[in-house]
Amino acid sequence: MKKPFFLILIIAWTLLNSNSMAMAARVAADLDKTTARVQEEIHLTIRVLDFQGNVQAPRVQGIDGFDIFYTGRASHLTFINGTSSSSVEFNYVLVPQKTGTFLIHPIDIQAGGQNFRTEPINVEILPGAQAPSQSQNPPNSSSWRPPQQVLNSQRAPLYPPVTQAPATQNQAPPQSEPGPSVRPEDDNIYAIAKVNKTLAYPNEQILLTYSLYTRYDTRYEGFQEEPEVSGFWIEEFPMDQNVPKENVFVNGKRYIKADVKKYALFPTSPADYTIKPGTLKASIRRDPQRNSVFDEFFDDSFFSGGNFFARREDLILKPPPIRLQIKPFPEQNKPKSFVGAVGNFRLSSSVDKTTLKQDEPVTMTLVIEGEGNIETLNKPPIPNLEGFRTYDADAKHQLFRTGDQIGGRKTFEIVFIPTKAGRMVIPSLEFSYFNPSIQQYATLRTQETTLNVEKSDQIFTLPAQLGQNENLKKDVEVEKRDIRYIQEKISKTGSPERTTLMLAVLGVIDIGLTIFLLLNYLTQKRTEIFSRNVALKRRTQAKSRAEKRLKKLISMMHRGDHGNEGLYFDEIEKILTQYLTDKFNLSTLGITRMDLEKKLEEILGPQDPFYQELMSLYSWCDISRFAKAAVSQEERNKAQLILKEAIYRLEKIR
Amino acid sequence: MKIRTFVIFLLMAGTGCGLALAGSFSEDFQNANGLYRAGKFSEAIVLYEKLADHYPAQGEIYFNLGNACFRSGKMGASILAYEQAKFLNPRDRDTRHNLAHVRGLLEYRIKDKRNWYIQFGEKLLGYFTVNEVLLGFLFLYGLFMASWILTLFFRRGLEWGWIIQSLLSMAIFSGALYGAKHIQTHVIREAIVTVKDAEIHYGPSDSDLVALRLGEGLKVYVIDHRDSWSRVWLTNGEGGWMANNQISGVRPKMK
Repeated sequence: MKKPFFLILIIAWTLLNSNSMAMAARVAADLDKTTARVQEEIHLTIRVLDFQGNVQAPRVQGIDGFDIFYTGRASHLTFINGTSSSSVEFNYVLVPQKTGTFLIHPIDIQAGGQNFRTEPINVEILPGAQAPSQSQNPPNSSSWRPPQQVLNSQRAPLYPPVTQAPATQNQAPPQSEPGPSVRPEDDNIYAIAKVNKTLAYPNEQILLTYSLYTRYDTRYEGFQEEPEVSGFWIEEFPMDQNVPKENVFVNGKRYIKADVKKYALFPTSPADYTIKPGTLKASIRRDPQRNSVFDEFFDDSFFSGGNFFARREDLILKPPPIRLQIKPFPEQNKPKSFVGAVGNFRLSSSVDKTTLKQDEPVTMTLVIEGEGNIETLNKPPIPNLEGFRTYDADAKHQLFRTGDQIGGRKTFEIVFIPTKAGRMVIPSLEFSYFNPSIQQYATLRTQETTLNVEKSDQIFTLPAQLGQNENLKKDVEVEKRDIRYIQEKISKTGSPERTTLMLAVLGVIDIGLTIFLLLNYLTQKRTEIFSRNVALKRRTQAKSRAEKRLKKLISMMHRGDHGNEGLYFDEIEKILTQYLTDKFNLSTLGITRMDLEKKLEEILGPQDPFYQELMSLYSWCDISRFAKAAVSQEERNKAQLILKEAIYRLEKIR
Repeated sequence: MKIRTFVIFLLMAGTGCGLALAGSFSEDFQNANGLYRAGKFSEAIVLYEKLADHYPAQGEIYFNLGNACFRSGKMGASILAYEQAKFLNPRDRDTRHNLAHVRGLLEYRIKDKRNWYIQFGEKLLGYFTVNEVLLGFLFLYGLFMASWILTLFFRRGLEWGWIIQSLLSMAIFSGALYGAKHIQTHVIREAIVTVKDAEIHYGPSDSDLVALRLGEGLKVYVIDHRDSWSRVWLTNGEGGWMANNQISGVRPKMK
């Protein structure tokens, strides 16, 4: 029963797989160069192609021998020659730290609940020309970069060690800062995750910052456990190569503080949320003296990476969870065209021509730019325009960062095809958004566009660049509904008479097959029983065997073989003897007349007339055989009767 | 010689009668269609009903009857005729379309509160006639038996095990389907309300309290009879007794 089940599973899997293959996304990773020198920037681009949906930036784990920096994302939706394509790009900068040939291992990406993996890439790093980067980043420089993806402390540091660096020139004077809300065992190092606001509107940016406070020689090594931010659209801030750090005082102790990670969160719907910030991993070089009262001797070499050969200790830092309240949009003065855009935007539009022929396409480019979640912006609604056919042609967007604010530009291209000649007007298009800083809605409008359309006798066809795209074709719709017309012919297929005939034929075949199988089963069972019990077999078959031989004998006599009475009685005796031995399970070979007479006497009794008749039958047989005496027809008939009677009576005896 | 002549005569007579009957049926059907085309829906209904009495296994007659009833404003009769057409030709798209259309025009509906698997089962079985399901069962059963017999002869040479097991599973499944279809058509019979304001009573008499009122064209399931009353059940879980003259069974009365 397992095989059919597996077959069904395989078929189902194949069907599902073929369906998903048809709309599968593709993922690719590229380097702008595969050969570079130490400290020379290499740009890594991870592209997710043909996927419509939200894709989170992949976590690029530590690549041995490189510093890695995330520099942002860009997405594109393009229609070229009637074919639409979409892509999301994630950009990283890799800074090689040592020479050699390195393998960038496959990078895992999650899109739409599916896991994708890039191909591995080889890259060769040559020695630096005259180490210009070293001069840019001298060992004693105060600049600090986050070695985000170092997985364990046994690895070599990913950047030149910067030890014993004093508080930097760009650091602020020591401030008093809040301590950790959950006090760790060792309060010389802790992490805090904080948001810039706890009350916001859907789609409003909330800045989530991870700050590390430490008094040790410390190295931040990335997330041990990723933050849980379900209910939010998340954008990761690309971190600067040189993250500023500052001296702060917490509870009278001096710490070095660094903002190691920043996210822009955009809530998707109003509700109360709790963000679990995950856990951060850091390694420290513990120096007992620094825990002493001589805090004034504290130095801030902890972000430096320390001595290459120093023994380091891993620490897991868990910032406390954060509660957020997302309130619904105000209903007052909400524009009809508002569909959830939040931020501060500008709108502009342009067309590629204003004089054209009838049925010739004109492309309007709408640009929305500003601060907010650009990726989720929708195109301004286009009303049903009399005298125009409209098609969406292209949409693309680009994100950028201004300080701690995510912003960008989104471009929509809309194709208008005038179906009439004359002065045609594309009306003003409306885009509304909610500005959380002033707590008000705002509505932006494009200018009306007037087109001079010349008459054309050409029959309308969809432009070549749109014609092949099934997504752009309009659906045929039913205007009114009614019942379908009467059927004017009687169908011949599947007539009831034919079905009845087929049922009868199949029924007869099935009954026949069932009977055959039953008989076969019974025969097998009988054979099996007889093979185990020979006596039973002989007893059961004694009558039929005797009758068969007797029938053969009668037939022989009927053919007129009268002159051979001796043979007749010889056969009669054999039949009787065979029957009796079978019936009483006696040996056919060793049996004597005496034995048989004794057995019959025992069964029937000496006084039984039938016993006497049987004995006389044996006598006739002897006479006929040995004395060659003539036996009358009457005696032959009587012999037959006695034999039949013998079988009949003995069959009743169990 | 005489017997042969007699047999030939019988065959010719039978064929002639058959052709004459077929000719008459086709003629009457076209006449009814002509009346429909001419907009004489009431007269077409009479002729279609007469044809349906004589040829109860022809789904096309019920379909056209449904159309004529709908054009005459007889919603209940129209739905009944479409249901009968669907009973005979369950996969006919026109019938399903018209039935859905007319049902969509009804003022009332009965919510289906049955379990999803019962709804799914009913929908699945609704795509096949009883004979088709039986045919499928007999075919699979025969195939299974034939394969089994073959194994007796080819036992040593070929591995038939999993094929037989698959066929047995399918035969059992189709047998179960046939059982369910039989229950659907012969035990829990579908019926359509054919009067404008039908009443469901708590008992099989007018003196019993009225539990529900049903609009024309709604479907009920008849589970019992007593005199001129039928015990019915609705898909929303309610039930009661209805007078027989307020409902009509979906299953056409075969001769």
